[in-house]
Amino acid sequence: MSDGSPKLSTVAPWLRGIIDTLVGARLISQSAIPHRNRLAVILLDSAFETSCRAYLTHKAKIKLGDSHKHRENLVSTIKSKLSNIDDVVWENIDYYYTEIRLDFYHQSAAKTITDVQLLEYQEAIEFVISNAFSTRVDELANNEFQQLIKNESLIIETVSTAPVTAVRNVKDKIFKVLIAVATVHPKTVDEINDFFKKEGDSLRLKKDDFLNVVARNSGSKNLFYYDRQNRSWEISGTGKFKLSQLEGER
Amino acid sequence: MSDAYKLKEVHIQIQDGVTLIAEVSSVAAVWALLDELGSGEIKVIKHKATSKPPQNNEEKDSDSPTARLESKAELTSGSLGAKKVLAFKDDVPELLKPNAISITDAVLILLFAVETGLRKNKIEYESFKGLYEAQNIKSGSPLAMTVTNLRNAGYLDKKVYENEKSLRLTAKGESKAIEVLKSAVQS
Repeated sequence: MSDGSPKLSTVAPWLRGIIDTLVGARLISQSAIPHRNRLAVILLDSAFETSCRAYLTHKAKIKLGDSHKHRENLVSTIKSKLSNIDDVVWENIDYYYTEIRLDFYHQSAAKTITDVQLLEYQEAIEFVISNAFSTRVDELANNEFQQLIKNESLIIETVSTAPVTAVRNVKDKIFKVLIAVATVHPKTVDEINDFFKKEGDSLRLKKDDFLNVVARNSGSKNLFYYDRQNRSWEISGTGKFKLSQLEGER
Repeated sequence: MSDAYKLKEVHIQIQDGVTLIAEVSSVAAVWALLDELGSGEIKVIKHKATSKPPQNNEEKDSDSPTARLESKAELTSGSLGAKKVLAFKDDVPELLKPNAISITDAVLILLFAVETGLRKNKIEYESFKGLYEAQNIKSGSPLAMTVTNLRNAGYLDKKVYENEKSLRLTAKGESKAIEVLKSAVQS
């Protein structure tokens, strides 16, 4: 699995539809639909199964036969190829498929699962796909999801695009930029300055100032990274953690 | 008096800000002057030995996130860094040998570092995930499953996780984290 930021420009075409399915699961799970988690499980399972076929066909270069039409054989084949994944992950996926997804899809329209169960299932699915394609599909899907709600903010009313903490309460320029990047996922410095203006903060950055801040604080252990496909700046894992600290300091 | 030196004057501080300068030509004259000052109303002040004020760095060190961890876990000061277990950089905990311990141990140490070192009583799952991923831990399973195992073992507060999607160690979890830290320092 790659350890840095995902580089979407290198994503294979057969993976794009899978990522869109993962984005769809996010959209549904964050909507106000009462049975959203049930619907998200069905989408996640679809993403998993199509990923198995895509991996075996395009990465492992295995010609799929009639036997691979059966899910059991399909999963068994991919499992043998991805030996670095713990058995417990496959058991988890199998449990959600046999005990939950089949029931949801074919029988019980009234049932759903908890947020915690959905999170565990989603991470298990995305962990396998990420390993299979050596790409962080969860980050790709998260970024796509953020861009989607930024561009079509009316599509989901429940998702807030408000900053996690008031930028005016923060003194350090780097942390102001961190809040701005986390909120607007900017492509240009103008979006950052628009954000500061909207939030009533006097800070304005020139392009070079902004690039200095994000470039000096980018990398696997730092606060920012550049999403090449969306051509936007995003915050890293450390950035998310730092942001939560700023929230705590309010 | 030796010919090796020649006395010209003596400076005696008799009060704060007041220094008496007297011309002298011998050691005996110095003593005579001191006697005279001592017998009169003018007293030569004696400087009290004052304790050195604590240095800012010392104060900082004793209340640093690392020091708080070491204190609570009853570890020798500086042992976490010396044994390359854990350090804080800009208030972000960092496992120095992330792949030398199990995934569950790594999660327990990081949570203990957040709660005790950074004085937060819980952390949102997504924020913790960011911290966890920044450690570059090689794992055969995703974080959510490790968290489930820790919840089932009673190391994490189930209600906080289910209701707020946040992570918080239970008393049992904190004891286990301390045990793990001690073991890591001793190995």
